[in-house]
Amino acid sequence: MPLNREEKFRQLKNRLLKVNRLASLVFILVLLGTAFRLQVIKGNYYYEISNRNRLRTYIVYPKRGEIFDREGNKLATDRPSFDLLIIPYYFYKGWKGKIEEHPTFKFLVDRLHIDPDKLKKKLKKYKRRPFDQLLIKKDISEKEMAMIRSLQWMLPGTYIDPSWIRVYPYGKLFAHVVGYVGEASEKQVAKGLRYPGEFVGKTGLELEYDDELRGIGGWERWEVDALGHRIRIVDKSIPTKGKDLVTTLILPLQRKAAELLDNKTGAAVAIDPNNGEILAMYSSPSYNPNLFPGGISAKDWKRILKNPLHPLNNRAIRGTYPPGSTFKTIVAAGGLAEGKITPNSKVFCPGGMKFGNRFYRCWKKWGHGWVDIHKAIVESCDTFFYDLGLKMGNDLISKYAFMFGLGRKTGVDLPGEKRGLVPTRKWKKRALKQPWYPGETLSYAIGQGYLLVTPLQLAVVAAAFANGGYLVKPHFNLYHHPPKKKLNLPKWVIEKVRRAMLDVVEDEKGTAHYTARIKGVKVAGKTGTAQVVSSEIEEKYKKGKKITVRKFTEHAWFIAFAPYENPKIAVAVVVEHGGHGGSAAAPIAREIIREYLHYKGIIK
Amino acid sequence: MSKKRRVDWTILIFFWIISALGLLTLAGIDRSLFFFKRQLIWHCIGIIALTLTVSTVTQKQLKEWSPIIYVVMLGALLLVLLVGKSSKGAQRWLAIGPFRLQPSEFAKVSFALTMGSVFEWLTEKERIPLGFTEVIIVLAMAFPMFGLVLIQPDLGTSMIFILMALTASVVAGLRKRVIILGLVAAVAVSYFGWTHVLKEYQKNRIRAFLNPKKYKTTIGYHVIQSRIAIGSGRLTGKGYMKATQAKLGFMPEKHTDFIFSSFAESWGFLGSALLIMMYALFFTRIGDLAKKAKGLYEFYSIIELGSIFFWHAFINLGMTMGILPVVGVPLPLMSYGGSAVLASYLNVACILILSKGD
Repeated sequence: MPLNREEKFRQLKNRLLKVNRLASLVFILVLLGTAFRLQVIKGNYYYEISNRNRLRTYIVYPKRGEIFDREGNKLATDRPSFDLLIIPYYFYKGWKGKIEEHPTFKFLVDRLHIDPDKLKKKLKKYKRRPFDQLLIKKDISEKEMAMIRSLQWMLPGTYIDPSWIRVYPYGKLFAHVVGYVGEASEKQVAKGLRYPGEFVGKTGLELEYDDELRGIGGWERWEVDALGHRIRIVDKSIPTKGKDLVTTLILPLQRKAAELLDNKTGAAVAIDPNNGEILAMYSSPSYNPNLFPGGISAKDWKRILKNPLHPLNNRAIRGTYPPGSTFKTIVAAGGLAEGKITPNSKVFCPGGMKFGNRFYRCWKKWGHGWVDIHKAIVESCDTFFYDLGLKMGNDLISKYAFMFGLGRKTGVDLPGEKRGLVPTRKWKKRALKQPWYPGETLSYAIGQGYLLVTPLQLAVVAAAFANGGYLVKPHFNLYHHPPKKKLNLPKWVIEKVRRAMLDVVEDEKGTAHYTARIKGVKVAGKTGTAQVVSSEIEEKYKKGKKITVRKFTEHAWFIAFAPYENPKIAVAVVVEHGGHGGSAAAPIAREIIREYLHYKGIIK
Repeated sequence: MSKKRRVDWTILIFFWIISALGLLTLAGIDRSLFFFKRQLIWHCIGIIALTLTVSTVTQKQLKEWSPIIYVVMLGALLLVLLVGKSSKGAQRWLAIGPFRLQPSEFAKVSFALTMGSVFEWLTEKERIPLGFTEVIIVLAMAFPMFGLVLIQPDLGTSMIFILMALTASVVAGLRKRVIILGLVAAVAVSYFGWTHVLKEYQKNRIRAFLNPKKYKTTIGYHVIQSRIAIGSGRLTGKGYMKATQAKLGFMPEKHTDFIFSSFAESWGFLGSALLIMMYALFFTRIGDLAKKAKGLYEFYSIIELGSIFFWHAFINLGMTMGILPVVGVPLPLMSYGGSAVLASYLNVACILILSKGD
């Protein structure tokens, strides 16, 4: 028995030896093998991940280039601001309830008045990247900053970062030209064109010159802890300020235009006829661009959108109206150049013209009597141009309309320009599936009907007559010198129309004699009245209230240049619902010209 | 045949080398040295306890007292459930003055000593290899402690009891039919355990183990960050005190369950290999001591005491490297935790007592 017992114990010990060896072997093979795989084979991969964990790159936004007027007044500039950012991780860490009930969320909504729906959307978007920096509010006030800092303990993950905010010192004065900036869209960020949270131009010069203005962003690489707190800076690159933009605008002139168009709807454009520099461009009503950079509130946005006058619309380049009688200058030039009339051709105006079975009225019911081209422009006789229109036909009128740059973009350095419309026969066939009726040529010749132009286009037309037949390219960038195009017209034709435009103002019978004359300087111009179907009245129809108050509304036009001998400025003004051109638009043009000539020292 | 008490210094050297690595790691990931200082104090207490125990307690006393200690430990575990302190959803601690003790750590040591008696008895009664009855006897001894720890809940530690029972059984030998039935039972118990016993968070850990990428930012986070930490150490490590994963807080439990990740991040594969080899040598040495044991009781007890270290190390290292589910088992001698350190010292003290000639 004892022997047996000893033998058994020996066996057991041998078994133990085997088990022990096996266990140690498995222990070493499995664990050392795994460690080898993780640390040696996949080591570099994990090392990269740990660096990605550890290092976070923060964008340092560059200062955006400033926009100046001709004299160095700042139209758009940057001001340092404090932005509130958050790391969304904290919204989800340890929080199982609804987002809306999160104390941090509540604080942001209740105390900082952040739109809860927008915030929720933003947070949702960032749910997959919970450690990214999320811009909550741009440019917080000192009070808000104090509140956030003192309540930091209950707002984990929030932090305040210095940055820049765009400011427009002149507010609504340059809104349509300069435009405004806003946070880069998700598309731009996704495509890698812009940094997240970067300010980008949304409209106007801010958009047009965005690439130059934005500058080059810098970055700071920070070592962060697991909660995203910055521990120390590892590496950085300093941002470069964007290029400044000096424009051709003139602050006092712009101010004058805004003053004149106050409480009116319309637009005014003033350009230098010799080179196309835009001296002033104002569209009324305007809006306050300072509402946008910090993120416009829902209330303000709604108010702007609901305004029936559409203040965001830049009427100077996007408002299209029939040019009315201002178009006669082009038709006259065309008629003379083509030889359809001579300077001495006369037409008798009995107050209108019968064509087909319709009587086309001249604006002067009792007629102008015998009219030649000069008188027809000075007194704006419709009958003469009905006759001329019939002689020329659609094709020739369209040819000269195109020649003067209508129906095409002027190529101004502003986004969103409209091309207007030159109603060729081809166009009518394509768009309306109808042939061109001869009667329509009559309306066409006096600038009514389908023809649509923008105020900027007419300013270019005025400039063309001013500079003796060159089509300029209007532009805002002072350092751009786009070439001007010589019009294919004999010099005497331009001279003839110019002469007539002078008498529109100078002649006692001229349509703008009492409204556009400036003492001491010769002004040339042309009035116009655009007749269009009023949208307001149409709406009333829709509502079932059959009120036929006025089927048409009349927009007043005036194009002008001065001084006659050596033109320095060309102007186009449109006033919506302004009635006849002479009365509503001409005084505005006159004051703009007076201001500019005063500014240039030509008149006292 | 002298009465001189000879202590096996080899095992103590391995023990202290590993402990020193643990202390070094703790000092390296925490600038305030809070955990390092406390751990150092526990080591001092442990050394005092070791010295006292080895110099006063004899093999005979140990064997005689083991049933009493077993009952006392059962009582302590019961007490934990009644008046214990809870932390992170589990009730594992007893507060004694300024200290918080985790009785389950000590229960393992007492269980090992009890198992020594049980297997001694089974062997003497010629009941090995183990049949059904014998296995049921062994499991019956394990079950009270297993159950009490499982409902704390502490899945990892409770599993250790079963694994300890298994270790001795494998050495003693199992009948073939028992092995087959055991496998079937294991599947059945796993299923029952999944549906009735495991808490949701424990299930989630296992789910995360099976599919860590899916739970990347939630429950799989621990393991993924731990693997990143270990892997990013590469061959030579990021250097002492430069373990960014651990220091910047990406890795949770960096000083307790996941201390190996902190260590491996600093010292790289060379460090991991050294540590793994140290453990392997430590276990082999314990095995050698068991082989030299005079009696069956000493033989089995040393195996059981050694298996505590073995299973802890294996499961912990496996889970930090992502090849085993995260069950919350500390790495012996490395992980921060007073009870675990003290229990390790008592454990090794028992091994020394049992292995030395009386």
